[in-house]
Amino acid sequence: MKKILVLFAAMAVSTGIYAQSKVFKEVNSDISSESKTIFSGGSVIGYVVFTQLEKASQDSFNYKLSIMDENLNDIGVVEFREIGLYLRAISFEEDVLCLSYIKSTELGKDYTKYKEVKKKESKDFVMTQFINLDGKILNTENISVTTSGSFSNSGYGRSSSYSYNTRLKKGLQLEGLKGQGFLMFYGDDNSSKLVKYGLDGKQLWTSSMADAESYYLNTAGSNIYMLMKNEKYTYGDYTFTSIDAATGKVGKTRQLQDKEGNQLRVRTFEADPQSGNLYIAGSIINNKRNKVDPRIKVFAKAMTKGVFTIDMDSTAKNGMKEKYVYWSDGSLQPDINKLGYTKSNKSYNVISTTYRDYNGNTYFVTDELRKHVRVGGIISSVVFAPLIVVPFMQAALGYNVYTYNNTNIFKLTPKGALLQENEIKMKRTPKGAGKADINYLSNYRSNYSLANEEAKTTYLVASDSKTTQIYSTEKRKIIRTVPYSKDGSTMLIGPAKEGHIMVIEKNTKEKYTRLSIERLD
Amino acid sequence: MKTLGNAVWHAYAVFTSKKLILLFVFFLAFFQNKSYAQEKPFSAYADLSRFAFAKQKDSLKKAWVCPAVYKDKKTQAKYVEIWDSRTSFLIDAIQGNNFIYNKEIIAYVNGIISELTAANKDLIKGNPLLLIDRSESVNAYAIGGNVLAVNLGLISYVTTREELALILAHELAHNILDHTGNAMKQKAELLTSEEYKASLNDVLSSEYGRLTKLKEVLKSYSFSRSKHSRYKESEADSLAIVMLNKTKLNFNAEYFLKLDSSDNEYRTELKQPAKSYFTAFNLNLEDQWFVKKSKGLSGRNYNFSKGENLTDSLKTHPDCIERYNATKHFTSANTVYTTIPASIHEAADKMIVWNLYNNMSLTPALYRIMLLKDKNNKDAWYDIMVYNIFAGLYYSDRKLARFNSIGVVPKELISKDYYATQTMLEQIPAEQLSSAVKSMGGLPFWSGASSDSRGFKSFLTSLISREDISKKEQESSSKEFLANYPTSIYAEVADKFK
Repeated sequence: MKKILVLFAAMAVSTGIYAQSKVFKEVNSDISSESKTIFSGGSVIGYVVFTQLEKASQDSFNYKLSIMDENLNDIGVVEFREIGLYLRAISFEEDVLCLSYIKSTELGKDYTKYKEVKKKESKDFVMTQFINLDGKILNTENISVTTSGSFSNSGYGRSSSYSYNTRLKKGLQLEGLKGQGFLMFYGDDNSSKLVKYGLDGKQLWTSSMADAESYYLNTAGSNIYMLMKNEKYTYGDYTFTSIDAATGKVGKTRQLQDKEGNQLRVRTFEADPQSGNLYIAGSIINNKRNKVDPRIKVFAKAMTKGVFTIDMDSTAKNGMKEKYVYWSDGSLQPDINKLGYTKSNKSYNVISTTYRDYNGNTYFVTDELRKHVRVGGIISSVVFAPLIVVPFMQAALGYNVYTYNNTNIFKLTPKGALLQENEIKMKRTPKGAGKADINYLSNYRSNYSLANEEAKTTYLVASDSKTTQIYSTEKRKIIRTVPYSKDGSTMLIGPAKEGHIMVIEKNTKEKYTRLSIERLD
Repeated sequence: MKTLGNAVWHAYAVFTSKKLILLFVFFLAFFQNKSYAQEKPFSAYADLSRFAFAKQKDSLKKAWVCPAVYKDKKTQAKYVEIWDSRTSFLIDAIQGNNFIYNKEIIAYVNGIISELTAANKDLIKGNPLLLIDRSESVNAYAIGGNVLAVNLGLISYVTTREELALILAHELAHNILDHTGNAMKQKAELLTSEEYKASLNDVLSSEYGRLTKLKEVLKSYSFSRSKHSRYKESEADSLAIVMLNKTKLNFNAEYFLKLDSSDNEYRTELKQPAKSYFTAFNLNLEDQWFVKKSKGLSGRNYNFSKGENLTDSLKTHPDCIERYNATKHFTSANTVYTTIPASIHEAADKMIVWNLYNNMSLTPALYRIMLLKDKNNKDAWYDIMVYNIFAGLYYSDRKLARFNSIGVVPKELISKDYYATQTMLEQIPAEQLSSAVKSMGGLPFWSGASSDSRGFKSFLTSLISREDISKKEQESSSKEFLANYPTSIYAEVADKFK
């Protein structure tokens, strides 16, 4: 009897504690957060954490926006009530924050039975909110959209529930237009639109955009540009247009191709750091090799013919300055032949990114693509030739494999000379099947550039599966090497405030994530 | 030193003309500028609370047994939980070296406590256990169970014995009135009360606004706690004045006003531009590194008002002005006060700087040194610490932890000079930082450095010698330092690499 009493007492105590923690747990389960980085003029200027706090009524939720400066210090909080929201994009111009959300009458609601959701129809919107640095919501604009949102089921048995998910066919893009306001692009199931808002959050005009698979909005040099990608070719098939900032009138659409009609593969569509005007850069794709998936054999037959840059001094036709450099020009010979093959490292150059320095030089960053013979496949085909099936299977796999080796940097000077600038030692990727798309191994590599306007310096951040290396363009050397794994932690590198990188150290064993904003050099 | 001293004396004896005396004075002054007194240790590794208070920690564990107060089992269980969490807090703090033993400071503070105890035998049953908290914040606290903690920040801040006595009397009053014990009881009662449970159930049963309701429950609880706490503070003030009177220690209500500006250390401007403090170190720091260049939001004129200030009803202490007004008529007629000995301040200041450095709070550590230089402090140990700070910063940079070592603080919370110093530490490029460390390593102040300071310099040099220094190499350097200087306070940092 005594034992039972003791047990009862223990249960009573734990129930009391449990009751309290249950409240915190349940209230906490209603809270969800997502964070976004605020960019302005290509620089990180702060961060926003958007939190859904609680259900405020049958249809609405209480939300909180926590605004942090570029050093991750809290500078303010804005609270508001709305129906279901997903924060999708954020921009900053003239001390006004502009945030775009997908808003829906059904977002955030949970239903337990299918019959409850069977006839539910959600009303979806794109909501744009304008907040000044006093924390005042200046205006909120809603545009009704048609999406293919649906209810999906999660969980099993009693915990099974139905919730609404939706997304726009063409993702939301938001850009500040210097001194004027903001531009928002979105595409729903019916059309793709570009909307201009003033700094007070008032809608100024709306323009319809031509159909495309993907859209890239840019507002370099206070002009509005839209790059569009279609799917006729894997590489290439880009069109490009400008939009009048005052009226929203869409200009003539131009196909991006060289004078011989070769498609251009765009790797960069951004502002020149020196002039602030738009430039486009990438590779020239051989039209004869552009109709099949890019495999190593195809690539080896001069799939890329060279590199290009297009500078937009203005939106006028004569404001477009094109520059094409072909491997066949001979400037890089004898090391690089007409097929783009580099003899010294027995590889081809796959352009992964491009960037500009403050002296007008354009850098083409390439991954060395190397073809290898699959010796094992050949031997087994020979040995098992009488079996027929084995050689047939081996032939299906192909007798070549490919790897990505080091990273090369080519410099295109303002005068049009293409030079081999440097090579960064990288960890070789595993071998990819010769008959597979050469992009399958691209996950093993990541290259992007950073700039410091104040110091007029540029950097390349090059990552493989082991390390991230930071290359200083001006010093022409690696200035930092960060291992991907260190003392049980995973180290990730991302953009941060000007001249800095964000170092994210995740330790799953000790359960912590440490953020640090570090100088590039 | 002895030989050179004799030579100077000999020169004085031989040349007695006025001109030659002037020459002698010049020679002496020149020599003094170039010599550095031998550095004395301000603390030892064994002074850290893990070692110095090991016995007290064990006896506290045994002695602090929660009394049976409540018949209601749930309330008693909650009370035990709160009681034990206080014990764990103190034991963990001792084990974590949050406290430090310093013979001189402890003797000085205990001297005041003994005086207060002797004059108030009816109130104080024996001297409390005094702990010196390493925190730089200006504070002291009563933990209950006749334990009293005084922060180094307070020791450094107070200027007179009477000012310190008022704070000690105030904390002793908390113990006498068992405020901590009562607070624990009140918390246990509240958390197990039907009213509290009902309000939590109300939160759970609500479909909408759950977080708002939970916040309201917690707010009303904090409000009630703060209201009690403020009352308790006033009660402790009154009893403290009574105790001071009995002890014949002067009371001055203006000390409360002084406490109002106690947290302004990092808001204090320097006497010279921040850059000039590094001239003595031959550091060629560029002006642009002291100026913020970021386009970020930190440089904008933001003014979000919501949720920034603690509303008055939630403050645990009454405003200092309120405390001054309530007690000013008790101010003693005698206005003669005893100044705190310089050696006490010196020990506290050094331990604060070391503690900040050990915690890798490099900007506050450096800024405190700059403020001490403004007070004409010429102790070479601080020069050594400037070297250690720059070397530590370079090490942090190599380890991609510079940002956290600097601890970037928003400009509105600090002085312009602190902001400039912080900005310089943030913006100095790694190459120049490396050169600065190398150049400082050969400065004359090292001539008077103790062997462990020089040993620590070698240890830091080994850490920053190469970017790819392995963990094993770090361990080996650490072991070497610990083997050579096992008693040095620097062992606290070296131990982390073991």
